[in-house]
Amino acid sequence: MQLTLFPHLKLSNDELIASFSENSNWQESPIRYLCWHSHADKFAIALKDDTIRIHYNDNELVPMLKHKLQRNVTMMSWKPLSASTLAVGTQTAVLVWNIDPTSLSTRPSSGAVQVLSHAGHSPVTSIGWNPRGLDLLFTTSTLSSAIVVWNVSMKQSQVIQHVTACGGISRLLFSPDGNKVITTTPSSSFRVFETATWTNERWSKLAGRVQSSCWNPSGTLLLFALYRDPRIYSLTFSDSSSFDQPVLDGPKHASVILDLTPDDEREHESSNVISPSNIIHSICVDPTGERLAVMFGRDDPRCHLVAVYALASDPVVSVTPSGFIHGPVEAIPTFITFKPNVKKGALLTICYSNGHVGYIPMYFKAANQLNRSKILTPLKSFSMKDIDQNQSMWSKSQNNSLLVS
Amino acid sequence: MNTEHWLMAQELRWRSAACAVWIWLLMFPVTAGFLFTWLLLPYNIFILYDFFVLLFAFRSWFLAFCIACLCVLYVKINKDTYSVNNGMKSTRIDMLLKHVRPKSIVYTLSHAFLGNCITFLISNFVPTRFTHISTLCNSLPESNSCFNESCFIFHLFGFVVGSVSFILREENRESTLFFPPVQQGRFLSVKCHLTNLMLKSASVCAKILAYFLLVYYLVGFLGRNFLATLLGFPLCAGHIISLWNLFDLVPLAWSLWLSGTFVLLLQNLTWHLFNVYLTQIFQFPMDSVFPEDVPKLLTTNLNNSQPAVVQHMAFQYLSFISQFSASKRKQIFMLGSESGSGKLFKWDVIADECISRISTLTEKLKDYQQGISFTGDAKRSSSKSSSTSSQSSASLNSGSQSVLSVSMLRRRPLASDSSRNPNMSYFEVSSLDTSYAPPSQLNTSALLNGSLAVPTPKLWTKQARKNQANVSTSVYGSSTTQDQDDEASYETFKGQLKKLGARLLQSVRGISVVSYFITELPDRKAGNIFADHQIYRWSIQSISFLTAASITEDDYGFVQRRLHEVLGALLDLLSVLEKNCKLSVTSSSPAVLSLLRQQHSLKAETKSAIHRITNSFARHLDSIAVSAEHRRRLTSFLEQRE
Repeated sequence: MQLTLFPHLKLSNDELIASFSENSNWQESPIRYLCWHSHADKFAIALKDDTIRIHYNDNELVPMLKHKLQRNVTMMSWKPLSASTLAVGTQTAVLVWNIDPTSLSTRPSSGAVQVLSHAGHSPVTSIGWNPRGLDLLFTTSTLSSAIVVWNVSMKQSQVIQHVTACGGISRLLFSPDGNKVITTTPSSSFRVFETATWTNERWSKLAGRVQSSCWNPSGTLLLFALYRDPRIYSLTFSDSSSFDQPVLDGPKHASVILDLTPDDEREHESSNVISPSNIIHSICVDPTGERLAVMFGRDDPRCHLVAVYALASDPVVSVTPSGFIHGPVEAIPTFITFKPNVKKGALLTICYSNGHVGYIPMYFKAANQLNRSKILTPLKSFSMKDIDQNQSMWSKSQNNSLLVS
Repeated sequence: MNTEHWLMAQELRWRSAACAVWIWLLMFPVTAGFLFTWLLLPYNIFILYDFFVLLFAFRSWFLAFCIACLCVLYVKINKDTYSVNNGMKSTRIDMLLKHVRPKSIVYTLSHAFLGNCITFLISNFVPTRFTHISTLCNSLPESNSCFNESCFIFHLFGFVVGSVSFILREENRESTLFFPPVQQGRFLSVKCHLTNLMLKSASVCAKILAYFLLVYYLVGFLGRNFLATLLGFPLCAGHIISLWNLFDLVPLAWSLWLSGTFVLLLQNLTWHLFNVYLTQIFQFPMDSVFPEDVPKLLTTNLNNSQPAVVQHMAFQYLSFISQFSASKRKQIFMLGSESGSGKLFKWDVIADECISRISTLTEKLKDYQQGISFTGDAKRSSSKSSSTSSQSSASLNSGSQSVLSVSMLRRRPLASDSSRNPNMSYFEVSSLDTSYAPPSQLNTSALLNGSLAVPTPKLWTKQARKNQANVSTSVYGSSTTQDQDDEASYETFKGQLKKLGARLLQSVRGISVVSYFITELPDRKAGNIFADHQIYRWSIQSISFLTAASITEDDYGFVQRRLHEVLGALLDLLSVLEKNCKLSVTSSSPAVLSLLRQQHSLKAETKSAIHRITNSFARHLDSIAVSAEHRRRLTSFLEQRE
């Protein structure tokens, strides 16, 4: 009965992780995940051979993390307000690495890793640190309905919620301000929790499961895309900073802010028809909340492109197309993420199917900076031409790209 | 006059009552679940029918009602016995005495009695062999009924489970309130923890059952015979708990295990709900125009003089608002009318409290580390002295010159000259390190034969005292009365008595059996430093969140005046915690290990707190006056190298 309701329960571990991964080709891609540090110029990159490498901006040393329990890396996350702690979600457990940034060792010892395992909570498909820098790590599994919080130093786990009748929790994502968290499930519903008392609101009767979601920096706008649905939806929340504690007052219905149905299909099909293949695989908003990047599904004709949009959430949510990013020839983008803590503009990082990592800088002046400096003249958003220039910058800066073989 | 704190009299009492109501309601479904398990027998094919018959019987509802009422008594005991301080007794004698205090005995017996009552009620749900104390006897033809040993064992086990579980809870510090990192609702909390509580109860009960059966097999007949004689029932032939009676033993053990698990589950569930209720955030007022409300203000209740539970709740609320509530933070950064401690700025009061808690922990850790290093030095010295003494004895035996060097003796002040103290040494004897040169060694004639003549010290002779009195007379040149002399003699005598007492205590301590009981256990001593870890954690979090938020929210710049203090306190704490984490202290007790792990947690918390401040202020911190060492650490934090 349960297997009929939740087909993902029939999948093998590898297939399960691949179907819910942010990587569009998790099983075949040389790079499975990339995670930037929130303050330092360094990132961790998880490879197909189950190793993780740490790349620094100012250091040639590349520490390699390897552990016998580190198999099938699903997700990674640097601890906020820590220079050295990296949590890794794997098929069996969560590994918390402590990589001393001043160490000259390229192979951190097994003493630098902590294994956190909770019975019936594997594969760990999603992890998230407390965004306020507390020593709390939240984990979820697609095969478990529990949200587990770990007091990492104490190695104590606590089940804080059961999202029942959904077949598990595929992803957990905190808003950058730390006041809200979205939990998506393999079924056609998702919940948004506030993090003070963990009360939640539920959105159901969706056309499919949530494929990808992201928050704007203030946590007032939630964007999400559904599996096999070409549209991006938004939910607007009020700013929690004006209340004594975080509150949830989301709208009853999500509104469509972007429709990515190809023009030729739009002519032939009605907009309500669900596509046979996945269209949007991943969406992400840059740390300023001004740019939205969309990566297409593997079976979509636009899978070799990454679409970039200018996003505005005040006074109303609006999305303006900025252009498409082409990668290297015969390479398909498999993973996208924005670098946090960029001084000016944004930096999009794209991992390609051939093992390349491309950095796409986007120079613009953020709206909040404009407001602060009382500049009233509107800044022209990027046009396609601008993106093309960036693209040529990408091809010029081949030396900066990383090839992983 | 010992009046109860307003928070405990109002809020905590209400919370306990609410908890009692909740647990009373919850007991009915839990008891129903237990009844279903109780009917699970291999030969019972009508289990569902039996269950529903039981469910609709008045007797069952009455018994469930009684069980629910007994659970309310558990709430009352929890209210009387809970603590918030994780400190543990650090000597073995204290650990033993803790369990034989009258209060502990009363509560142990209360738990035992409640356990017994619950097993009695369980045995009456369905008529079984555990229901009646007498049974029809087949082995004794002359008597119709005899003593029912199964019933006796069943009730005795309830008694044992109740008492042992209470002692175990006390030993493992499970009656200390645990403030969860994430607050949960009541129903949700029970739902999320029920499985764990059941598993825990079952495993603890299995352990108790194993020991119970063993002890009953060895000495159980004493209690059985005593009770049978008391009640006037004849005893049946044979024993129930016997190796030859395994077929009877297995169902008995199953019934005991189920009933014991149920008793423990009720206890654990009650405690869990009690903990959930008491650790919920209480919203202290930040400001009030009425002077009578001053004791209720947050800033007043952070004080060290408040009861521990009140301090915990105040710091918990402070940590909460410093994270989540911008409006409350704004109030902290504003000029207040009255903050409870006579200070105008709430920020000052809060910063004082937080910094003082952080400094207290730093001082405790420093003292502990100094103690460790001193003990380490002493150990090294003693090992060195033992080697020296062996060397010296060897040299003495060989008839060589004295090995005592002059550097080991310190010159006594000139005021006490040898001419006035003929019996005293030229050198101050107190300065002689006994570990380097024991008195027996000093008194050897070989020393006198050497080049350095050191007369034998005779500090305890009457002559010496007389001389001392003469000296004082001659020095001051005054006419001393007999009374003063007597008083001086009395004082000296008292001092000597004290010394004698100290020596006696030392010699008693020297006895290995006594020292075994009174020596402080190093792991517990180290763990006790972190007994108030929750308050330390909340202090670190609160001060860092407030400081970080001040860059955009503090309009008057109150926080910046004390930024160097905040950073200094946090950096000092971090450096001592880093040192402490390198000390290897191990323990076999899970409660002690949990406390010892707190140092790693606090270290992580402190690092995050410093990062929080440095990330907010960034290069503005360069203009803050801090020491060179702190500057170095701050720079490495700013460069993300920590």
